Amino acid sequence: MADAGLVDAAVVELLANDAALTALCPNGVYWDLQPSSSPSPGAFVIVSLFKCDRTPGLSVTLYEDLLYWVVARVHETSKVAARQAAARINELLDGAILDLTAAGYTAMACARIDRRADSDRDKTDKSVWHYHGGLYELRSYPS
Amino acid sequence: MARRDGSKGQVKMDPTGGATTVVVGALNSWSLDLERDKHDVTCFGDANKQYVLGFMDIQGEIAGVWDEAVTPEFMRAAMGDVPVMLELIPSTLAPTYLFKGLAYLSASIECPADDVVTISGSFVGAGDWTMEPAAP
Repeated sequence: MADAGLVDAAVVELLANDAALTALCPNGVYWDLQPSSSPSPGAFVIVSLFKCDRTPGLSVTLYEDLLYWVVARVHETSKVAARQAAARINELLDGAILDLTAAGYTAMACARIDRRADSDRDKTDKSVWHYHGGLYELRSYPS
Repeated sequence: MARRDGSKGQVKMDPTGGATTVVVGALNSWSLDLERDKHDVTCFGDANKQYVLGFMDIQGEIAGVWDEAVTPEFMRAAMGDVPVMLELIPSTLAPTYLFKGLAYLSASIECPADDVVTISGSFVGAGDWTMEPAAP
């Protein structure tokens, strides 16, 4: 049975295994929430599911469009590292045909369709967090 | 074998009509219509209408965005009298699967004040068209 959750995990794994992105965001890549065990403040990437559209065929799923927000969250005065992390994320995902074999899916396309580049103040100490990344549409189908 | 997304589509062209096709840049869609002539041969006593097939009428459309680095070649081909060799590739991830043949190209350009400059073209067959790879 197709499990789109395995596709989510594959996206996180792809980003987590990239040395260049790890250098920019050394505190890791996480699904939806930074775990409490992770050092804070720091620099990390959050992947979250924004939307899922399934296109059914006769008795099968023809393809699914999964929209992910992939955002580098960097706690620094400068936004440069966050911007560079977003650029690296884009290199890894935009236009890529991801290997989803282990997830039981075949990727068809992946493209950035929106961007995020904003900053916020920490609720406790008023220091600055930068959020840079994009909304990525991953099209795939169960193999 | 795999299902494909159109983002990896491609159009190649030899404006001289030869076999040396090169990628046409700044395009974002193509379509190919393989409509067949159908002649009605229904007779008294038939249970339903019946047809025999005639020729295939090759027609299609190409569209893209104006880029003076690449688009003038496409426009010149459309303004000339020589049929071009077209190769229409559904996905560069499987580039050996394609449709090809000679075509007469027409083109148009649209330049709205509030949007990008776009080009579009239509073509009709000017020679035999084939699909590759051929059936085994």
